[in-house]
Amino acid sequence: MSERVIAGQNFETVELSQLISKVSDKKEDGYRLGQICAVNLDDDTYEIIYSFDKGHVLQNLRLIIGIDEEVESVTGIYWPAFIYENEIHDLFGVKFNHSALDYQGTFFKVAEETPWKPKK
Amino acid sequence: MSKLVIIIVLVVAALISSAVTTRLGFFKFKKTVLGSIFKDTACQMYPVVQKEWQERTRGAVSIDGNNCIGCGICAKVCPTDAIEVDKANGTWTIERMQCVQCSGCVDNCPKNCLTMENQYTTPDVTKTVDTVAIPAKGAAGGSSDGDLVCNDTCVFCGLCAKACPEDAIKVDRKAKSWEVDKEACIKCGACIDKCPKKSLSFGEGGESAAAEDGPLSCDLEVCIYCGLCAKNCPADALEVDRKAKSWKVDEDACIKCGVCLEKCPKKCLGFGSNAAAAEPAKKSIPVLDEEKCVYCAACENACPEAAISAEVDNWTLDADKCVGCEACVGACPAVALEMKSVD
Amino acid sequence: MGKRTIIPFGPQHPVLPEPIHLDLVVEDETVVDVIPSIGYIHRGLEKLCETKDYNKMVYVIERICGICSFGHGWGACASIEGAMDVKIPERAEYLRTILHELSRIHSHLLWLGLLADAFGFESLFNHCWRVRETVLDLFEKNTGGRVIFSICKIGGMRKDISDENLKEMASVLNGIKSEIKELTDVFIADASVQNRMVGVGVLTKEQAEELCTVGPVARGSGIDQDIRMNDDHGVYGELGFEPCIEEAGDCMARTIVRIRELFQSIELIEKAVEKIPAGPVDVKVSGNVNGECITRMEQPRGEAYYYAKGAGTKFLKRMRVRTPTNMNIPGLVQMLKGCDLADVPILVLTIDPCISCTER
Repeated sequence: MSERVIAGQNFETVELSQLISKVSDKKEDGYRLGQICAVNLDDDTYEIIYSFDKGHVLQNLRLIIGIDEEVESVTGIYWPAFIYENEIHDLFGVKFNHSALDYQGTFFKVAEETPWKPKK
Repeated sequence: MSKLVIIIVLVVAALISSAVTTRLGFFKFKKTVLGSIFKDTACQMYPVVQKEWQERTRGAVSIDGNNCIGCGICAKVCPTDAIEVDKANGTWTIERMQCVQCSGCVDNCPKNCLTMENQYTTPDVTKTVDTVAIPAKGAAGGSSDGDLVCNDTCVFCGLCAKACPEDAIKVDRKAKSWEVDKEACIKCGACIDKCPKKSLSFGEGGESAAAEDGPLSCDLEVCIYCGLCAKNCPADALEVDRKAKSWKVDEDACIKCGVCLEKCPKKCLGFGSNAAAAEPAKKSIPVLDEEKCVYCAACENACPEAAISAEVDNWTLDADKCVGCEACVGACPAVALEMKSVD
Repeated sequence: MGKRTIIPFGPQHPVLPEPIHLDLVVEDETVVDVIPSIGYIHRGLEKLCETKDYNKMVYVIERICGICSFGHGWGACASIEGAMDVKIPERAEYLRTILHELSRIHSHLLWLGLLADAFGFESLFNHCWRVRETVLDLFEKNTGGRVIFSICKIGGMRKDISDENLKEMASVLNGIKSEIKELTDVFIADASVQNRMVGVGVLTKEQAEELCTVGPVARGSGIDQDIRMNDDHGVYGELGFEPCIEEAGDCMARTIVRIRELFQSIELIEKAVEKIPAGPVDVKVSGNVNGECITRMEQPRGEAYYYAKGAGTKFLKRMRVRTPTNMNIPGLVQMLKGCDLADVPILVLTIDPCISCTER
């Protein structure tokens, strides 16, 4: 049966241009997508964390982008990523290009106007 | 009775028909279904039958307004901002509908005047706001307006820093430093209660215990002349001579803070005719650090109650005799004794 | 080929406890495509956490979900403890494990009831919830709350649970075992239940891997994946935990995984109560969060992520919760393709959707 593992905090920083190839590598290595999460670092920088799991060990890719930069969608590699990308688009205002399932801002139906910037 | 017969007939009919149609599958459930017919209902006839609440059930927050010092910690820790404390006007307000019964306020109250009742508030169609009167600013604690200060009796034990809910106090035992962040201090007084040496106070005015009428007096028949009262007097108004068995108070110097009353192991002190305080203080006894002890028997000689026997490598304390006067601690040349409270 | 029609399913639907909307593209009676859509109850809780003192935030996070509230509280505490490098006492780890497993029993019983309701077995539904009531009473006695426990704090537990109460908890659970067995036998062996679930909504192992499903959905498709195998939190290693895995991948397999987990949780609690060490249940935590930590919990619905990032102030920079339903929606879409319209409610339920969790 399966082995017990101790998972550490594995963060690896990637450039915007390397993102797709790095994510493809993960897919080929048999990782599954855990989650994608956006963090508002300050007024004009975002951090996007892609988490991957294989055999209960977590690998995270950290992508830091400016507020105007557009990110290539990973839905071509991991289709379930559409949930996170639409969520990040709706709540943080990050743009994703070439998404396999783009709700165009209608995924979250919130009363207040989004995206919520760190300081209004 | 006839009702029961009808039910049984219906159930048997249902069983037979379903057994035929679903290949006896329905029989899997027969025990539970048949059992339910004869059992009481699982539901209660609420509100006719009241539910029994558990001791830990978090129902509603209640406050003992008299003990509240208006420090506002409850309002600060409340995740929903349901509590508002107005110290100037002496009110404590809770919005019942906003409260989520996390009991964070109860856990953090330095005066333990908040309690979590295990009864819920009654349902209502309007939002309930409860206001409770608390002592207004300046009314309690005498001089609690000034900043927190520590006098030179401090032993840098750090208990005040541990008790501080706001982490406003910094104590470094090695460097013998004591600092308070005046901005962070909310003057709740939790540190003052914890201080074993009563070194802390608000402003220059000394201790904040309420003054009582009449001059300080001592019941000399009970007094053992241990000198703890004199040692702890912030105004140096007391003079005790153990050998001469004398106890004197300088009434002009006495500020009637009541620290001596708290400290007195025999409870022989009082203001005016109330020569005995109601509750005995929590008893503390000396504990020996054997590594440091040199068995000089200085403690044995100092003990007014002959509770200590100090033979070489055999130091014993008769805890029943000990009155917790700390005379032994003061006499020990090797600093091997430490007072520890016993429950 | 029949005519294509789009049938809206939800957000209000008798089978759905919470609002999710599915656009079902049907050909005759067969679903050919599905477009899921959520976002009806986004409450902005993650954002709220950024404006609250991190100690208060635990109460907020707990309220993400009324069913797995303990798991959320634990996950948030664990991620902040990780970011602050705090080690909690052994007894607190045991207590957290016990309460987490108790939540699992409560959640799975609730779900079994909802499932029975979805295929119209009303009395089974009521009986599942009757048994669940016993578990809720245990919670109330030991933590003070029936669904929101507020007993987890950063640095350990807010209250200890006495050994006596723990023993009583184990014996009560042992007592309801036979009742649960009686009810779950109906799910497994009753012909009418089998007709609705066996072979319906098959998700093969390959599909489940491709769609990154988690929790009982993944385990029902034969994927060996359970975050309790991860030794970060809890005492599952000491208790000798092994995941429950079924190979078939249909509705029945997912149900059986949860049924087996019910008994497994009772066993884990019994073992934990026997082994629990004495000692303190919390450590004092002071200072502010400065650092980041990503942790995972196995919730009753599957793997959940908690990411905490602090910037040295008393407010967190980011508190992120990724709940299991998020990751199972793509799996649900796959399951729904090719199924009968009448099976849609059951399929939606077998992923045990928790939409409030998903949107936070």
